[in-house]
Amino acid sequence: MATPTYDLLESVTLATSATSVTFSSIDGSYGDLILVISATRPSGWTRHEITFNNSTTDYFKIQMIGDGSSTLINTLSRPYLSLWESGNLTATPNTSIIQIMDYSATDKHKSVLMRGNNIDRAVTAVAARWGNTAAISLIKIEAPTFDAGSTFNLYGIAKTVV
Amino acid sequence: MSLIPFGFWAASGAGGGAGAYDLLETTTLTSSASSVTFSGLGSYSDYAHLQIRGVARDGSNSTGLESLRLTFNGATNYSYHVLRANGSSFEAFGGSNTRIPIYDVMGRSGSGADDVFGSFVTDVLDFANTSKNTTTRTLGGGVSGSSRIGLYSGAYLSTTAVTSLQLESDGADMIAGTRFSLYGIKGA
Repeated sequence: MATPTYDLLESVTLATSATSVTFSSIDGSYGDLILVISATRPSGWTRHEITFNNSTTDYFKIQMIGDGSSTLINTLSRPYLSLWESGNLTATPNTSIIQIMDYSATDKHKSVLMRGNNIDRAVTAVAARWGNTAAISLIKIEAPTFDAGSTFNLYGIAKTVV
Repeated sequence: MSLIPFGFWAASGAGGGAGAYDLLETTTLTSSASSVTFSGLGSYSDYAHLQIRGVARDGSNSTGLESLRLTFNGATNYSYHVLRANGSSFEAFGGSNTRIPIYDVMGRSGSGADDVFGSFVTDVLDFANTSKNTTTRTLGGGVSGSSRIGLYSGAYLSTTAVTSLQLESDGADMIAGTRFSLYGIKGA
């Protein structure tokens, strides 16, 4: 039987500027998570830095970026998962979509697919892995500044038909 | 206009009317298998589109990543395009094929840790529409002994409604823990 899903788990709209947003006590009953960020910052550009369960180890990624005239590809290991070119000028929010696959499974590392869409800067695609088998119960997103009005929505995608 | 919660439109559509995005079936392997088939898709014709979400790993002793083959109705007439990167170079190519390749979305057992899987999300558009060919788009990749990120498009060169789809390893059998979930997305 079809099981309605794509459920909004948590939603944050910043009333004032902030440097981080945290989703904690995430419901572990879904298969995948989708995090949708529509954010602006006061000036310039930056990256979103994403961590799970307050861990700062074992994040790996590959990314490809096009800015309209040039391309960039590389692999990185940092104390966080970064989505480059994801902060942007105030006038045009950037939309980032982060898909966290099998986030509650304890028999596999966590695979993450990310897309950044920043009309002022670049388009980005990322595959990433958090080298940890712990179920993800907390997601933190950081940047130098998120403007008031920036939105962060976390959705759950079921994998078990009920 | 319908607000359909898939891909890049997720922000506007998600959380809309109940049943706009439904889990239809999930297969999680409990033992190795070369392929997974979803059949009887004709019963889902009240949906406009399908989405496949996968987390996969094969049993090869090699390092790096392995690919999947996507086919519909057991047919062999497809075209595809690829834009992908491996950390040091881009590739863009395409052509005709006997399946739609979804490159480098499975971890391989020779890559070290037993827990490394790849993943992908594939949209199958207008799968039941008999006035147009069925098209696909995929975002997928993996970070393993070698890493890859790719955007893939495909077309099933037939106006026949899709009633079955198969995901087959391009290499060794897929291992236990590999999971494919199928979702239906409502149209107007």
